[in-house]
Amino acid sequence: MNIFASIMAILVSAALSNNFVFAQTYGICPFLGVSKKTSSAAGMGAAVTIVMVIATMITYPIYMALVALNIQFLEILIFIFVIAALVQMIEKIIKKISPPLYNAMGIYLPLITTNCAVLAVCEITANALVSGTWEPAFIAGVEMNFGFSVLYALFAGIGFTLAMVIMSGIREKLNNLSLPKAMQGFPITMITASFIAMAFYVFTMINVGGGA
Amino acid sequence: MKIKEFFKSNSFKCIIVLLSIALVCGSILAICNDLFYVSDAEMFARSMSKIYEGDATKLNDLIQTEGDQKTYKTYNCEAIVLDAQLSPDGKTLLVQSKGSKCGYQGGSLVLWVSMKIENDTLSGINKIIVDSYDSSQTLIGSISAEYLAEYCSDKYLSVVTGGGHFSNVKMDKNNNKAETEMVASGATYTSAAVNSAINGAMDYARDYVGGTL
Amino acid sequence: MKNKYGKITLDGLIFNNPTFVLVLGTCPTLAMTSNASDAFGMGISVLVVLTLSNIIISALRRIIPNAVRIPAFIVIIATLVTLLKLFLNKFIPDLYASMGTFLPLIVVNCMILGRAEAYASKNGVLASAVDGIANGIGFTVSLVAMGIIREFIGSGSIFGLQIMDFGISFFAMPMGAFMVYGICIALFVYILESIQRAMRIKKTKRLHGELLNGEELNKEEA
Repeated sequence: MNIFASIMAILVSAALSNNFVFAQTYGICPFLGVSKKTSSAAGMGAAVTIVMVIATMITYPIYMALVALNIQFLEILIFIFVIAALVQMIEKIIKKISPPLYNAMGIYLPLITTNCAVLAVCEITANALVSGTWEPAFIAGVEMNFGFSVLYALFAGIGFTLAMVIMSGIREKLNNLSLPKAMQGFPITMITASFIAMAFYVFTMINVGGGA
Repeated sequence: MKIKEFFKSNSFKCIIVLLSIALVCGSILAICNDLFYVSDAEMFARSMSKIYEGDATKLNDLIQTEGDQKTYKTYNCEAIVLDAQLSPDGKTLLVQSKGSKCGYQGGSLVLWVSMKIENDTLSGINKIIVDSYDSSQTLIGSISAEYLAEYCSDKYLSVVTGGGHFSNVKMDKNNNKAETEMVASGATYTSAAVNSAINGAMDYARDYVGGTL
Repeated sequence: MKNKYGKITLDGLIFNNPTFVLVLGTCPTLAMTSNASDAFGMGISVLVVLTLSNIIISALRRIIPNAVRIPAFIVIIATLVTLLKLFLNKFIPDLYASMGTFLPLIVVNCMILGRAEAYASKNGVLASAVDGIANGIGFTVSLVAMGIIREFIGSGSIFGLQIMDFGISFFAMPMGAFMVYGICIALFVYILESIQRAMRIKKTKRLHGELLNGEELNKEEA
């Protein structure tokens, strides 16, 4: 597979056919909590994407070092600490450099520490690197390395943002409906998400890289 | 700030508490990691116990280095035989085969195939299990034990992939082109990898009994 | 005192059920309920981690300074999850394999950090332990209920035991998970509210009845 086909395969797999929210059910808490307005959904999505990309850039080499030292058991501890520290740092940096940007997405940053999508992307790319041996694993038929892992994180973040924005658009309209009291809030959101997930299922039919 | 004041301040206490928690946790984890260590032999026995009833320690390892691994081309796909084990009586050949670079998203998966060998010929498949698969394939759940059991027969010694996009994976015994051939129709990205892995394992077994390895 | 623990238990199990009322820890709920056994395994894992983290954090609550509270909690929870991972890999490899990425993700389950922050860091060891067990059981029971529903409709079996020969694989997929979860929350909330309303009506009727009886007695006396 040439490099362009590889990038396309990762894009389709991470953002669409294996969308983090609708196909793999990662990051549901912010998906339900911050998708009431389109603007806040987009801000949250952008913040998550940035943290995902930088976190993968840091945790991938760290995991290589852990494997070299044969102390993989510290993986979870170190990953979650890196993410927590990173979120704090990004918050400080954005506050200093660009106050308007901070106003737009700063309030969502502290929530990201306990967003499972970020830890999930670190775990997936790290597990794709090594599963006991140095043999690289495949994601969507692409042999993973550092560059592809960062791309995977970027596209996964884009897929997450897409899911947030679609959901928030629908939820803004849902507010105008009169529903039974028990269906209001989470239940109707979940059922709507189910229908969007059905639509996303069609993306699994996309064929990248020939074959079949 | 004086050094003495720093040692009495709240931030010093914070650092000490955090460091000691991290140290205690780290050392507990290090001890437990040694305690719960899963050795390679144990992992191997665990993976073999699902496909082989006998004692896994008595198997003869046919592929000991990576150089011994064989690659077979099957129906536009690629199958790599990663490991092969022969039972002490020489009647069961266990092959770990990886089907890859085929199907919809180039998905890959690794199977263990247990094959019968009688009178120096491959006479059938006993059992097939899924060892591992590409974690990004969410639809892999559709490969059930019943589906894999369809391959296990004395009769069918080759599997070809039929057409029929977007249909469910179906094994068709009646649609076979030759007496010993079975057609698997349907095109999910896993069925192609399954077919190629099984065909690769059978090619390896034929090479083994034919002495052409 | 007994009443206090009873209230904690009821809150964790029903009135503040983490899955159906507070809607916390949604990722494992959606991902691990495609069959009942996986749901049970996930529920018990969370129960163990939640109880232990509640006990440890509540025991250390006077030592940990307020400023570094959250990092300290995260380190403790991450350690417990790593221990669980090592334990499962050694003794229950099947569950370890089926949990996959969702095992390390227990660290960021909002329920565990939420209970640590809201309850264990303010209350005694025993109360925190009861709180952890009650919430964990509430979580496990909800997950297993959803697991049974999805496994039965999805493949006609319960806990791997084939009961009927049918299956709508939609329900074994993530979209089915969203659907079943939404309907379960709605039903749970509806039933809970109906019961509470019925109890309220009963209570008012009883009070009303006592008043009426009192009046009748007064009349008779007169």
